[in-house]
Amino acid sequence: MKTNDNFSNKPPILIIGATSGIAHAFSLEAAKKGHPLILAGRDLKKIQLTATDLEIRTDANIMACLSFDALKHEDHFTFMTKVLQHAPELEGCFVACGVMFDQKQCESDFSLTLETITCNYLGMVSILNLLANHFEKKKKGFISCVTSVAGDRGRQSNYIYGSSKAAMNAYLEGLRNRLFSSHVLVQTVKAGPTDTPMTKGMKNLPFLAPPETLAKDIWKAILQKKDIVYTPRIWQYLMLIINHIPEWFFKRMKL
Amino acid sequence: MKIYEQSLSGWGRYPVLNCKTTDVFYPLNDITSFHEQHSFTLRGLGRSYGDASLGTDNSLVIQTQGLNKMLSFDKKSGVISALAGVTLEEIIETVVPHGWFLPVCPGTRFVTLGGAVASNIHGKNHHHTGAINRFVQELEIITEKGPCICSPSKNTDLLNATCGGLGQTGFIQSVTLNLKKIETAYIKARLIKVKNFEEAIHVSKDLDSQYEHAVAWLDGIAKGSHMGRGILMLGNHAELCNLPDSKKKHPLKNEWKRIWTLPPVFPEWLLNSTHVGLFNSAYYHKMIGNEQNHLLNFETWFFPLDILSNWNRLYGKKGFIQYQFVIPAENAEKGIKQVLECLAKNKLPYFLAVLKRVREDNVSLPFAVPGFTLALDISLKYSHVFNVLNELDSLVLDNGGRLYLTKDARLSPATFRKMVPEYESWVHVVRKYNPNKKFASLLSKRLEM
Repeated sequence: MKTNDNFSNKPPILIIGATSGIAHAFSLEAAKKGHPLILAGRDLKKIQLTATDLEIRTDANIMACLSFDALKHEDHFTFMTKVLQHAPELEGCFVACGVMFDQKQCESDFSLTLETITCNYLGMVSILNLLANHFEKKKKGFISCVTSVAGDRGRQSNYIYGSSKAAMNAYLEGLRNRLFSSHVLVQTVKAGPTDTPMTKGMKNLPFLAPPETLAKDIWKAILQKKDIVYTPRIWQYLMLIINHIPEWFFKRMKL
Repeated sequence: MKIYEQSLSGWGRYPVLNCKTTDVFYPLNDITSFHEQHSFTLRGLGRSYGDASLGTDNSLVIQTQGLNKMLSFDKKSGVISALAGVTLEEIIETVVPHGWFLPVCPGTRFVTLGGAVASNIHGKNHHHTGAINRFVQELEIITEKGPCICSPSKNTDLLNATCGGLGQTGFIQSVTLNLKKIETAYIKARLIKVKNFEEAIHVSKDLDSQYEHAVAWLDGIAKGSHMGRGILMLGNHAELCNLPDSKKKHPLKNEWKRIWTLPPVFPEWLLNSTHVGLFNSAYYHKMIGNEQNHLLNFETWFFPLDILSNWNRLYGKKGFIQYQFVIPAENAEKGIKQVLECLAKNKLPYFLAVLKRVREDNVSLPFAVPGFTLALDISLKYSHVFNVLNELDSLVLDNGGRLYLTKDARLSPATFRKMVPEYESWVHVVRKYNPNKKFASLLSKRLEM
């Protein structure tokens, strides 16, 4: 692993959930632009494999690989301390962390429902609270967090996962409101179905997009300081329609 | 681990089969504890044409696209190591800016490293360089007995049986490859018009020793005195001094062209002899004069078909077969003539024909023998295709030739064994490492391996 000097003066970015398909693509994008990265995720071995891969592909400067488990809230403060030890100048954070189980299984097994909510919502709130405090003090930076188009409307086929993402949408909206005066960008990335390990084997996913498309869109949106991004773009239009379907009709639909 | 049903086919879209499928994203330690399955079939990007990556009734298809991490790259010595799901496109993107290139390039960059090794891919430089096995420095293979490292100095029998072994020797987990040094990302190409395939063979024999890359495109539709006319394409990697000043600043620059996609349902009647005949004629006559020299970007040279991401849809729902055979040099002219005459007699058109000289493959289950290979794209919409192809098999066999299994979907086990006498010694090595036939595919079942 390289040391963090002699590379560039671009600010470091923290990637949470670094082994996920979208995060890997985003890391490639950020590394190509010369940003040093801190990779964090549940399985350190996998994170290190990802780090080596990024270094080979882009000459990336990976400052550290850290273990991060969304479910273990009690460790998040220590994690944050470690992050800031490696990168006191941290200026950005990309979060693509989450689980999705089969809806039917979630309905019959509460432990899966609980894990969905704990990981996708509580875990994120726990770490984002800490990050928000850091950026608020710095008075600059960005938090870009991947949620899902599934969070816009609850559908019978996926509402456990969808509601965890909907909660995130509201949380990020509030955080954005709070950090606006501190000039911190809080970005909600509403991702459509993406061809990643998470969606393998799922049938009938419309407009399945490669993670590289999302990564490019997200990077562009960060530069443009967009609050809410639908990616791929088509979902902006689809959700415009879906969000306007009146509830009396929506509840009758098989979605 | 998610296991799900998926409808799969090779690139030729024949046969199509519902397979039990799963994906791997990170290295495995052991395959047998991976899942209690009768057997495993390995699949990368599904770019083999026939049934090599399709499962059988009781096998689990392991898709390796997610196994896409690079492990090391030595920019000084040009050695790259990566997990099997990394694609050739990703390797090219990574190594070209540092002055390295794939030592062997097939006609598409959308294949995985594991698939490339299992098919022992060859390219336009086979006559000069051979197939990819000559550049494999090390493989990590998970056999029934566990992980096994093989290289030219260690477990050589496994290495030689795996390159071109169509996934029968085990799960190729990682590949270490020696790269080729380049000065520029360009190819200095020389194009020569040939009147027929005999002339293509003669000119090729005369000239291709001076070129690393050589291949002939033949017009499959032209009749009468134009039958088998085509363009012989010869090329070498350009050196820095070959570039115009405008390109000298960034000699290793590469930007992929935009890729186009065909709609999911492409009417198969659109691809007919008239349209292809017009296209071929235009392609042939576009080249003015008998000879031209060009400086081409490597993408244009190696991957012309990749700009249409799913050109296999052109052949419609029924799909197509790419019939690729090799005939030893001494019989090449006679054998190829017999094959083309047989196709003409049976009125079976082939839309694309590619001819090139090849050298020997030094692997246990070789495709190439020193001679000429011809690849013909044949649509399956004609009802008599399979009968005619059986006839071709016997012509190829009579001339001492054989077929490329990566593109095959219908060869019979008896003919296969006659074509490939090396089969017995190859299968002996396969069983040495996999006594319980844990690795199988529709192809291995069909050929009764």
